[in-house]
Amino acid sequence: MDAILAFGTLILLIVGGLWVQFAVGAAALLYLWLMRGTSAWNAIGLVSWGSADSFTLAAIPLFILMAEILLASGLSERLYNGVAPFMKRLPGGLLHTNIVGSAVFSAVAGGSAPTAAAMSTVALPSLAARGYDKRIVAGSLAAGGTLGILIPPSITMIIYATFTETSIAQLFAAGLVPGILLAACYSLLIAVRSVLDPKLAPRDTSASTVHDYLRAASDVVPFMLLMVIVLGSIYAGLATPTEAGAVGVFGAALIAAIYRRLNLSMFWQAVSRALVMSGNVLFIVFISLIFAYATALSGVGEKLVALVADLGLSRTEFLLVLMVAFAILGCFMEGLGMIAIIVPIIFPTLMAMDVDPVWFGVFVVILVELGQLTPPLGVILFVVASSSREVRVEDVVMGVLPFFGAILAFLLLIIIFPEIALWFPALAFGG
Amino acid sequence: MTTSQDDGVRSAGSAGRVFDLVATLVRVLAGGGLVALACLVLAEVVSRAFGRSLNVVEELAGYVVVAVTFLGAALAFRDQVMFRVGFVFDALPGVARRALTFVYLALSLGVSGVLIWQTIRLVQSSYSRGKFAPTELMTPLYIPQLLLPVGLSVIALFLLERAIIEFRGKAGD
Amino acid sequence: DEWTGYTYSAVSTTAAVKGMNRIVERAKDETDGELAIDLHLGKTLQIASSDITQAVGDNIVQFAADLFFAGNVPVGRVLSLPLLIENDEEWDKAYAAMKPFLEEGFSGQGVAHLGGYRYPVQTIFATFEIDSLDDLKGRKIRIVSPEQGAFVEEFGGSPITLSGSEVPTALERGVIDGVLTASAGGAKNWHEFLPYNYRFPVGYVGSQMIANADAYGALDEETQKTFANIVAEEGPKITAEFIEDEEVQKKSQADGGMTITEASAEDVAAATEKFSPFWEKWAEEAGPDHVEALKAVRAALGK
Ligand code: NA
Ligand code: NA
Repeated sequence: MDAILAFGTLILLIVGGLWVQFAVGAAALLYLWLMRGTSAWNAIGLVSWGSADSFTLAAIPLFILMAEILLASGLSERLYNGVAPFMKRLPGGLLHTNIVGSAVFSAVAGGSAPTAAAMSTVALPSLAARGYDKRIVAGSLAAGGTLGILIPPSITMIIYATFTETSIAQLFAAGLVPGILLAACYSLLIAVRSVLDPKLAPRDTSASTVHDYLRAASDVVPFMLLMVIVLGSIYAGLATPTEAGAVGVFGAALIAAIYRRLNLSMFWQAVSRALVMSGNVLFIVFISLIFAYATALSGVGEKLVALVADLGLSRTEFLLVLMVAFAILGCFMEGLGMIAIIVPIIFPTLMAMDVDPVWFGVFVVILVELGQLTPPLGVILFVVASSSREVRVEDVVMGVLPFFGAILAFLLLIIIFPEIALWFPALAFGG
Repeated sequence: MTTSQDDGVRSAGSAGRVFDLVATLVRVLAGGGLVALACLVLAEVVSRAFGRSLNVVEELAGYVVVAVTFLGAALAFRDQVMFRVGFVFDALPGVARRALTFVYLALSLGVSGVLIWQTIRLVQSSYSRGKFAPTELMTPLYIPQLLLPVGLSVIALFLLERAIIEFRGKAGD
Repeated sequence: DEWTGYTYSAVSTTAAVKGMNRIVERAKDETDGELAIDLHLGKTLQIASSDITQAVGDNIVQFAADLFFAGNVPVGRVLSLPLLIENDEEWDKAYAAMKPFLEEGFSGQGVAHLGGYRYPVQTIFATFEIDSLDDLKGRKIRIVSPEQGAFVEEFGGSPITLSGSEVPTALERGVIDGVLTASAGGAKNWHEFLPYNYRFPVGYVGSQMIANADAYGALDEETQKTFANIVAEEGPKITAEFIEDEEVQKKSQADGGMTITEASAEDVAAATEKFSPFWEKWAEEAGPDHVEALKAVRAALGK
């Protein structure tokens, strides 16, 4: 009952147009008060500190700052100029760059928020200026961003592994193929939609000369250079995925300097914009963790799972019900909180049903991806919306709707063909 | 170059020079913090490449993240880019919108108030317990924890400023 | 009474969590429902592991297991000083000597100290071949406390501070070359990145089982006694299960291809002699209560 009231208030306040952070905060305070009166608020101090004081979260402002430097120096504009001739004949054109770019970035970043932030800041303004439908642009960026936790490295998988003592190396290996396949699904979806509705993405049929291609390719060089610096720092064992954000900041500044685009006012502008966007995103992560605290304290997740466990379902039925449960909870919770609440309780049941823990890790990560995209509380929706004043949260929601379909279909696909996730780790580890 | 979000130095309305001054101060402090964060983390990467960890970066970076979270959010609110879902709100008649704005500001101030109150209690608890971080720096934790109530108070201050602007707007009609 | 329980551990299958669950169940049964504890696992409540004692003292949580209490009860760090405690028998003696200090430290935080358990001895797990401390030279070893840092430094390694979630990728990519942990502890998660284990006994970590002093005092006398008994019984059981699990893990890690080298008694003795001045220096810097606690422990150990 408390849960229904709290979740209902959350939806009402968000849809009613209250600033999202305060809507979540108000619902969390209400939830705590309903359970134990104002004395339940006494935990807020420690919970606030536990949620906000985090080294891992530093990846978010760092990658945002990197992207803002690229944007302010005009390097991101160059990237899109450079990719355009190669992509323009495809139905969907530059939208595919969003997906490919996100997938590549996911191989650098351990989380979805940094991936979505970095890609959106670069891509949204460029594509909007070229006459693309802003909703499909935003949707593709949000969907692409969530690849950050499926394509290794992935902090979500590490957390899953600590709860279940599953092999992190195998999990990482298992995420790779589904990550690439899911990205391909997104691209396919974009192509089909663009063919059906040509207004979504402008089609340029003009022929390009060899000279055009060469010039375009040279525009991609600075971005490639940055990729090499950031990816290189990780694969050479110099930096962790979080630290790579700082490497990226300096790499971006360095490249901007080489192209004579770096000056103090441009740099300060990038810092100032990055600060506002980081604060916006971090504050929602922070406040949703307080809501997650209330949810965990109430034990509603356990009750939900117990309910399901009592139904005596078959393995496939159980997984489908789990999918629904995760999807519902995902509307209100941040991904890691969801794993913390659900996974430890259902894990024994899953083992009894002979579900492969590595496969289930991939399944859970995709469910968390879904949760990051479902309103009212989908962190990635807000990250994308905050990259542009013209794109509103509801635009991102509308734009991402078709991608939900793709994710749900993909979940069914890996239930039917678990090999999608498992053949690569088997190949790599002989397991 | 077309950017849709403004240069960030611009503010979406002001209720007076005091607020502008606080905003500028916050922007410089937190912006400096963000740059410092990048420098700190890079310094650790470089130093470790030479076989020496600074052994303080993980801790300090966490504190900077706290500062950026709240001070950045305060600026996001002042610049009127804080997330909201507008389609229902925007469809309401002007009177209802204005009334609802005051309700929302009051509610947000209430939420901030509870958070400020509780985080002050945290600072007091850590101070009286002599709690410190068991690290190289042995930081007394009440010091970085002060960032919580201070940052939240800046958010509350800008909420108050918005209320003043809205109120003046009404008086001016 | 209805209590909120919390533990730093997030793994429901670990001896620590299984033990906490037993305590909760027994408390309910043996007090006829007088004391009902709702146990939450690590990371579910958004309370940082290093804040658990404070959460108990502030009555946010009434009963908890806390492995990371050093910021609240610093004197407890004596038990984790590198090379001070070499084996399980020595731990038992040292722990008995430390108990009054722990009780006093926790009581100063408004917390009742009811018992504890410990993890198996921490040894060196590495990505490089290691069969003596000399092999640490120039290697980057992840540490979780300045005391461990002093140990790594003393033997020529580079102590590296790194967030736990970054450890697996850091090991895989060579950002760090090794960690100090137990087979039944962190190595359980990271073993696939760690082909070598030098079983040099670096030190121990112990978790304390604690309750809010007021909430505990508010229980009627019989419930108090019953609960204290349960915790006192289950603590050593958890420790025993950890020791068992250590052997199981060690074997499975060896079967998985990990090269395991035991440390010779002479090597341990020589290293201890080299490192021992650090204990006194550390205690003097930390304060008179630390000096006193260290003295008590050294007396109990006869070193
Ligand atoms: Na990733
Ligand atoms: Na969601």
